[in-house]
Amino acid sequence: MTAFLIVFAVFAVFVILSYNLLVTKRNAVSNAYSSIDVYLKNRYDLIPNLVASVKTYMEHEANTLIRITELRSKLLQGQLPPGERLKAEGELSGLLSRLLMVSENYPQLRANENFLHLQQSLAEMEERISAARRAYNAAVTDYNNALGIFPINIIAGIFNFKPAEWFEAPEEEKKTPDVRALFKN
Amino acid sequence: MDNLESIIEIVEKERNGLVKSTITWLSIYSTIGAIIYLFGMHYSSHSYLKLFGVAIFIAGAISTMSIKQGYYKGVFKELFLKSLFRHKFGENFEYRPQDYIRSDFFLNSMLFSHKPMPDRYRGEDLIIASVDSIRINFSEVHAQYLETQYVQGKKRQYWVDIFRGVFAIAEFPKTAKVPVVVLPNFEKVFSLPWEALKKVKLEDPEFEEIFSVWSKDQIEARYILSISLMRRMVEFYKKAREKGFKQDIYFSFVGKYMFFAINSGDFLRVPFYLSSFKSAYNSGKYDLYVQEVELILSIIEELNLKLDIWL
Repeated sequence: MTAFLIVFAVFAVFVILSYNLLVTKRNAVSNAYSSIDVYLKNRYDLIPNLVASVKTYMEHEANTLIRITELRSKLLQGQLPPGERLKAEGELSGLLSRLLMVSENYPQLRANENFLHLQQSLAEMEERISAARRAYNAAVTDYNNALGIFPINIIAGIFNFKPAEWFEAPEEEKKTPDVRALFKN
Repeated sequence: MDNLESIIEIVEKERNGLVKSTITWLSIYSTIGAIIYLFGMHYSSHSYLKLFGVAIFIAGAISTMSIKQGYYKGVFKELFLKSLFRHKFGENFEYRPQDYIRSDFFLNSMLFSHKPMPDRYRGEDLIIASVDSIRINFSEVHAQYLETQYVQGKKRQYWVDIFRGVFAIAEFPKTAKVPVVVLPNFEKVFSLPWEALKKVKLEDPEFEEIFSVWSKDQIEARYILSISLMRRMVEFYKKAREKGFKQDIYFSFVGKYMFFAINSGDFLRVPFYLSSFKSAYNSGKYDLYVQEVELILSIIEELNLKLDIWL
């Protein structure tokens, strides 16, 4: 009887520790995902000022500016399903990159201090978004690795812990020109 | 170059003067020591007088050479090294042999906050330079703490090194909102202030093999340590190894500054004044001083710190 109780106690402790470990790691994934959101929202906040700064100089880019504004509004509403949201984010990044790239052709704009400041803030924000995505992927790797480890995987199965998805850069972002190159000149 | 040649002549002249005066003093001490020794041999039954004669000679010789070496160190650095560096690195370079990076920078860097606080902090050979309009300051630093032990009820105190080597501060194009500390991978991190800092696992396996990264904020650590910067840090580490600098390298990013430290022991070590200066110079031995400084300065280019935002 005593032996049975000891085995049961050990098993219970194992279940509790494994469950808590998985919850902690899953929360880390959620937190990392929320951090990406924070930086993305900061980027949305920069867009109205950016559009206001460039629209008088870049009349030929009117369609790009309209599309950027539309995408921002859509993303701010926060009602897009994850797949579409990723696609919209990718398109927005691509358009912003393109906008900054073509700004090279507008010397008056390049002399505008407000624009230069916004450009730098946007560049910094892109870096932070990229860092947040890397942190998210690290949290996902950590969580998914824990899910795969025996015997924690048994507890994960019982309590229905599902693997999290890694962030992959959308095709639009992969295709877009590198804004970083602009700053290297 | 003519200027450097004339400086070499002056340093050599000073050194010859020191050698001659050493010989004079050693003769005086050996004469006094010998007289006391002989006196002790013939007129005293106690051996302590003979020992006293020997001790006079040894103490005199050591103190003479130590004083002369101290003087030579000053001459060597103030005259020769200053001129050598001016000649090699130009005007954007200042060398102050007596100065060093202040201890508050050392503490703020958080590089050694996993070790006890320093009780003794010294340094020398401050260099203030600018590479691609990025400011960099570095010097030799020696930080120690006093360890107290009780052995069989007896108190025993001794100095333990926290760090001895080159400590540098350079402007960094990004601002770290929370400190990000990069230590050699083997460094043991146990002590209390570090409980708040968590280990950051990064994507580059080679980087992870060499360094361990610590920060309160996982995202900030990745913002500072972009994938390309990690690669450049690995390349810099390898380059330093290839050049024969086998020491450990530490980095930290605090606010607008990057701190780094190379555990190299003596930086810009001055040769013993009794060994020849000119022949050592002619054999290119003193290029090592330039190489030591160049390695530290090269970090600006190697890590591409001149880029405005992107790393």
